[in-house]
Amino acid sequence: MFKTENKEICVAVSSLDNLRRILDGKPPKGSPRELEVLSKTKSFLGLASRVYFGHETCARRLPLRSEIIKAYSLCLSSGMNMSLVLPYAGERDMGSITSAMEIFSAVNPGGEVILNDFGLINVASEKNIPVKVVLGRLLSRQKRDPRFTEFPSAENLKRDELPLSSFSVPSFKNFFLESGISRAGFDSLPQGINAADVSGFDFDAYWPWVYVTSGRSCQLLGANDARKGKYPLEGLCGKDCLGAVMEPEKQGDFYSFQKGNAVWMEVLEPGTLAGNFTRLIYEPVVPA
Amino acid sequence: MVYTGCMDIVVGIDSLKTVQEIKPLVDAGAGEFFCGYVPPYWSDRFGYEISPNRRPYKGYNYDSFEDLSSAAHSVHSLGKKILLAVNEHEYPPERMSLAIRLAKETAPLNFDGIIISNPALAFEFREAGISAPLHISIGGLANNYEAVRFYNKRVPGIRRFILPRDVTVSEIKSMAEKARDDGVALEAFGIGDPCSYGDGYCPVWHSSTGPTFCSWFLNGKRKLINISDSADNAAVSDAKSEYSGLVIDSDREELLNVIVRACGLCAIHLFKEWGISAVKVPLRGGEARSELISFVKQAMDLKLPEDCQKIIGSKNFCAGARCYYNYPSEKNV
Repeated sequence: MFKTENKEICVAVSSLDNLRRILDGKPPKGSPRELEVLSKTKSFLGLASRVYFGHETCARRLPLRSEIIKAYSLCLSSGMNMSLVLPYAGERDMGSITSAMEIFSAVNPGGEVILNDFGLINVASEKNIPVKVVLGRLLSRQKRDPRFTEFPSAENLKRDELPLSSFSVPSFKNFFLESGISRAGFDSLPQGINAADVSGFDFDAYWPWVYVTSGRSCQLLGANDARKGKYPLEGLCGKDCLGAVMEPEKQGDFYSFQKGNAVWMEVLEPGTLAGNFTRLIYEPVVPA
Repeated sequence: MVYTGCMDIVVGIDSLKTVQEIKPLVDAGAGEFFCGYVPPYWSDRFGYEISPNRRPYKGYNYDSFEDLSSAAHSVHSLGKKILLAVNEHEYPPERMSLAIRLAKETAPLNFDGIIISNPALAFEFREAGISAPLHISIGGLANNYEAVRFYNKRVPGIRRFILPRDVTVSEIKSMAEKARDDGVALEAFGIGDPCSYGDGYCPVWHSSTGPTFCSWFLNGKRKLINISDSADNAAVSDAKSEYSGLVIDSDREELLNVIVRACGLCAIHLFKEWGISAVKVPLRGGEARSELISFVKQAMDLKLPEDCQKIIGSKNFCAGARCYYNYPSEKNV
């Protein structure tokens, strides 16, 4: 299903509850479809030596200070490393997310933070926060769509062009190398990834849940509130997403659903991943 | 560099070429224009589905140098500025090479700026001798002021940053204050062309060959699946549509749904007060541009949402998914 030799296996978890369950050998909580996928992939849980803990897409789901400290403690006790995953940030979120980074660096100086936001990368540098920055998969923006067979209409483009990324352009790669960043995340896409010509960079492959899209104005919050439609940013959030996921009635070639403020698609059998993929980021359930 | 004085209105165009066609937009208040160009050497290789900018639709772009040249010349002869959008998120090697070729080919047209999302383009353009100022598109992810600082520290030649759609009015105020202190120019959305998710973090297919992903995912029937601990066999219910609760009880609202689609007019006078350099009216592929531009122009001097509602001719239009900034918060519903 997914080759693991010569790769560091990491498990992606967004909640302390699910982290505890995984470390205790219990299945994490998820939707019926996620649990169905888990039943096919759970052997990877036993191979993990690192935890990617945190949330990529929603600042409202940022782990609490106590949760970050507890998560790190649990990982250490289990003999695992931990990387802190942080979401992208609006202006109002910068303070809290920066604090999360500082808290983590206090308990784990030099530890990795997975960042999906240029502003947070700048803060880490400007404030000399002792963390090792890794680019999250949200900053690698190859085209993807659950209706994969429809786009693009030319098969040669799908085969040859869609797997390519900007990292194959030296100036793009060097832009990040010069900021001290030498690892980046990719989703394991249906078309695969072709980063074979990229040297000097390590890559993470996230599998089997591919990020599709997200927004700070949450479609899931707005799904039950007909007055508001897309939920306003100023609106209070009761984290309703912890209790529900949203599916389209008609699926595309790949199963997709919204969990949290983001849409995800299930890709159990991605295309070829060519390049220096030294980590597999295994998602037992969507880390959202 | 901060634009002092009036706040410009930046309008997307896609087929207008002559002074006669463009002047009505200028008369309505447009001070800047932006456009996309898909030359034959690009479309022959990639079609329009894989575009050099964020509008992968044939009708939304100029596809001949002659037409593009006419448009640029006409805008300049009217004393206004025109920008070129080369703002797709990803440029692997061949697409990067063609983007550079496109920028070099259009350099004699003296575009007043190039809108980009991928930071590597800045370095590649400079290397190729292209010196037009750069505007960072929403795809460039300047979603907070530290991201603005990130770019200014590392990327040469930036003149302006375009703020994303999904920001609050108070966030715009915070960023505008910092921008003023630093002498940085910001641009914010004013009216038209909403986005169901967040463009910069949306790598999904944006193609013209079928419905956009967000339309497909959100506008059809959807199911909410209860996954809480107390769920009884993961109960399923129907999710309401993004627009289902919004009242459309007049022909005017029906028209606004089509031509305006999303509105931030009531916040525009604040943008002007805070020193935002430009208001974006993304109308490539859209209609009734003069009317929408005049809405924005009038809104610069208005204070109350009720005044904006009079301009657009509808009170009920102000709500939910059609409101860019939900400003003033909660008072529109």
